[in-house]
Amino acid sequence: MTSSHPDRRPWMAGIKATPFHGAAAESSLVNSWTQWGDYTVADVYSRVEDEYDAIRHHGGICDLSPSIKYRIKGQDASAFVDRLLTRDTTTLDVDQSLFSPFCNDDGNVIDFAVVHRLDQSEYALVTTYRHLPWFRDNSAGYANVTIDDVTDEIAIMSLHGVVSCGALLLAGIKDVETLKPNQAINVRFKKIDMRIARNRGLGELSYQLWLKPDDAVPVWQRVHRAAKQLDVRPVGLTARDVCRIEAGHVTPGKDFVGAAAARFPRHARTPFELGLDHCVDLDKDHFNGRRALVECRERGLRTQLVGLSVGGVTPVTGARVFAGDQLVGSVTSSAWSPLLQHVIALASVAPDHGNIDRVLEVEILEYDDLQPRLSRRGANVVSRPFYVSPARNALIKGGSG
Amino acid sequence: MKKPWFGQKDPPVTAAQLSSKRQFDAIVIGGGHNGLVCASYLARSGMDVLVLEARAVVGGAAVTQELTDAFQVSTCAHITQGLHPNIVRDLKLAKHGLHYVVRDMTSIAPDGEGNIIRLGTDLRKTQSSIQSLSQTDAEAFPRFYERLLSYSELLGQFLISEPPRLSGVAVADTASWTSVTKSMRKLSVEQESEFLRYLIAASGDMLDEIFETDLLKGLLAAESVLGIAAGPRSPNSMLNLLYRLSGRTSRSHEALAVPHGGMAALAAALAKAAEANGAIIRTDSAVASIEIKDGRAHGVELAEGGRFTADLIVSNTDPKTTFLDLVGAQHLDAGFVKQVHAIRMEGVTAKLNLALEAVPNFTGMETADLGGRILICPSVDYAERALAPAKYGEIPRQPVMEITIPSIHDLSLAPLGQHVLSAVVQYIPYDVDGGWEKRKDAFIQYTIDALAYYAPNLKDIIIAGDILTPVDIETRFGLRGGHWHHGELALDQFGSLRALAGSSSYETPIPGLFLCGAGTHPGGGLTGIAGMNAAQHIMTKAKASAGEQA
Repeated sequence: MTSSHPDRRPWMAGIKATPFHGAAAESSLVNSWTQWGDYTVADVYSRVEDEYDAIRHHGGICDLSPSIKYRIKGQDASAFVDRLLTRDTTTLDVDQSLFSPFCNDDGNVIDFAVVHRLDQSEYALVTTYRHLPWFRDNSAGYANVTIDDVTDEIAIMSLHGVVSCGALLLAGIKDVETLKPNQAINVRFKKIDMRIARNRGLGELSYQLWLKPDDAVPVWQRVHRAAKQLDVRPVGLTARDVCRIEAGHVTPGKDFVGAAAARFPRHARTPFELGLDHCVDLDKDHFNGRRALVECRERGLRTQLVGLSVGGVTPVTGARVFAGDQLVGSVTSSAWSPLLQHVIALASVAPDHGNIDRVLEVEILEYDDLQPRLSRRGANVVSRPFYVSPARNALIKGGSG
Repeated sequence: MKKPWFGQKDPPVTAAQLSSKRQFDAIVIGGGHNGLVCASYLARSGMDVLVLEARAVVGGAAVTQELTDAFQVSTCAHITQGLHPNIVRDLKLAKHGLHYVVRDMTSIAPDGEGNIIRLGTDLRKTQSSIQSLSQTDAEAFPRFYERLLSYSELLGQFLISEPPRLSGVAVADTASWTSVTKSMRKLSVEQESEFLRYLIAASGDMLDEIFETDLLKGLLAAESVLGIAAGPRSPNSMLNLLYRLSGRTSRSHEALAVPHGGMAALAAALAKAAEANGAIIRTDSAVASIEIKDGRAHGVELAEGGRFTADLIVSNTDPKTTFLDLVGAQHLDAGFVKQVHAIRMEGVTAKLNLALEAVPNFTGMETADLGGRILICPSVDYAERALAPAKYGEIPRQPVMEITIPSIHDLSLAPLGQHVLSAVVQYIPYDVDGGWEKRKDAFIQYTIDALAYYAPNLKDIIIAGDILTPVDIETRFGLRGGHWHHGELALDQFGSLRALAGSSSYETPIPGLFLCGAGTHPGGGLTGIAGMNAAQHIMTKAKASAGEQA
């Protein structure tokens, strides 16, 4: 397990182990690790297919500690958060969370955030990448708000799948059954303080456990042990990503380049171009990028993110998309869906070609005896998400408990 | 030394037209010269215009005030670089009382040891004053000066048109680029590259390349740095020289001029023109905030309470004050706000005004010279040495100065035989080590000592005086950072990059809110061009949107 020295800033650190590493390493049978941000996490623990099955049919445990977390605190925290994000956060109650993009001045998406309201004047923002300078810039004009990167202070493990609630109950963690999606509670369990937040991660019934780094290993082991009888197992990034694509979740750095990282503004994407219209509240008070987004909405889309159902059996990540002879876009993420039994893909295509049932083609490189050759496969535009579990919104125990 | 320093009192309220009207077509925030020019043009086009001025008098830094009993002086700005002739003509300023007591003032550079260089409109006279110090410089001067003036004229054409936006896709932007390149095309290839070099070079280096006389180089170096926070060895100080000279080319003989009655007369004529065109001017009306409704500028709220509404708000205050204080960062995008914060806006120019009981005797000068503008900067290094301490919060003992004795021309300013001396004192830091409370006396002492070196009888003839540090200029005239130009005039804050890259054309991200002050293209200097350009832009836009609706 890593110990973070107070003088050690994230960019000074090399690759770190996550707070769960000790426990995760015990479960790793293939010793396959990959880098996520500044951390190593398991790519695969045992077999990708088994891990995928765990999530879709039983339950999977994931280590999400490398997610970037910020603590936003102060009297102006609410106003600041609402000014940063494209979505209206003024109605967000304490212990609730919501997903929202945030944009630069041009209305292009910088990254996504899940904002958790911890208290009247305290929020946690979970993002894909680091954004402290941008957040500080956005706090100009708000006298009373502090923004801190607390990535190293919070360990997050998640449980996905139909049995995830049962697994937590078996481990002895109470009251989780009362949670509705996007709700959270603070729990004290065996002298360990934790926050449990329910969400719809990977299109499943899902929970996140927020822990102090020192509590990470014991809690992981306890939950893992208690849930083994339910076929709950640790799941690495590879299987997670297949589920992510099935759930149709767009990911910064994969399906689009964040506006701050884009070398050319035309490569960046507005929320509309990512199909996130429901995450933009143009009627709320001023938020960053609002004026540009009003114009974007009038101007129309430059490109559109769509789901594709692709022929063949191998994923087509990065492939070019054609309508006849015309190049109309490219595939950003792709996977073989074991559940649907065909290849699925997220692709960025010209807006004229994004209608459901539109027949397109993807062009891939194939090899015969190591000799490359271009070949095409049929690809139909289908609605996203490709799959969601009926359990993700399930009301497990009515009322507020 | 007598020490009758005292604070200024503002004169009684000018004829402020008060009205119970609350709703206007346009509200101009700030009754400085650019605000008045803009208001006049807008009112002339038929708009219902209200000008709100925070102080008791209009004119901004162009004011004349009592220095002591019977002595009047242009408190802050003391020479106009030349209101643009189009403004003088369009607004009929002569009819509204603008008369100059002196124009095309000769620039006089003394070295304190009896040598004098006189740079005036008569090239031969200038040459002969250089000749006594250097034959080669006297011969080199005409060619250099002609170049300088022709480049200034070229730059001048650029100043009165709206600069093209760098990201511009509009027809107007393309047209604007075309006019720039078209003017450039009149030059030979060799001149073209030299012109570009003039825009970016350090004046000190250029002068070293051409001349050998320190005094001549000092005079031109001083001209190149007045009003900006850079030295003659700083890159693109040459730009400021071209900028300043652009008002003095063939098109106008109203540059380096002083109006009858001091700078207040200029402000008064502009105010009268605005009122004649139907604008209402309200003094003692500081604006506390610009109201934003549904993302649009909608009105203003006064500090003393009370609101005025208009669909068009034009801010003549500097961009930082406009965006950060009046609008508020919450209403703007973060990237934009960061750019606003980054505008360099700290001035290094102070002002010293003295009431004198006799004529100061400048060593080596003739009586006629006292009617000129005296530039204290005997060499390029002198200016650099004055700048160096100011960079680190120190007050230079030998500052660069631009001195006028307006009472030589204008008998209304002082009792007969007595005079007022007005000096721009440069490289006085905004943030001084130890704070201005404690350091004011040192500033006065150094500056008087420095002046007395050139005019030895000075200390014996001072009746009263007043100083304005950059901080005083900020607090008394509302010039943020005490900067003449509402933002440093340098290549990175010029043309398409002024006030900000991407929003140079008097527009702001807030629909209905425009800028018209010196912080926009082309800059300050009492030319009124920013106000004129802004009005032009606003009227064109209003016409276009009226056309769309029709």
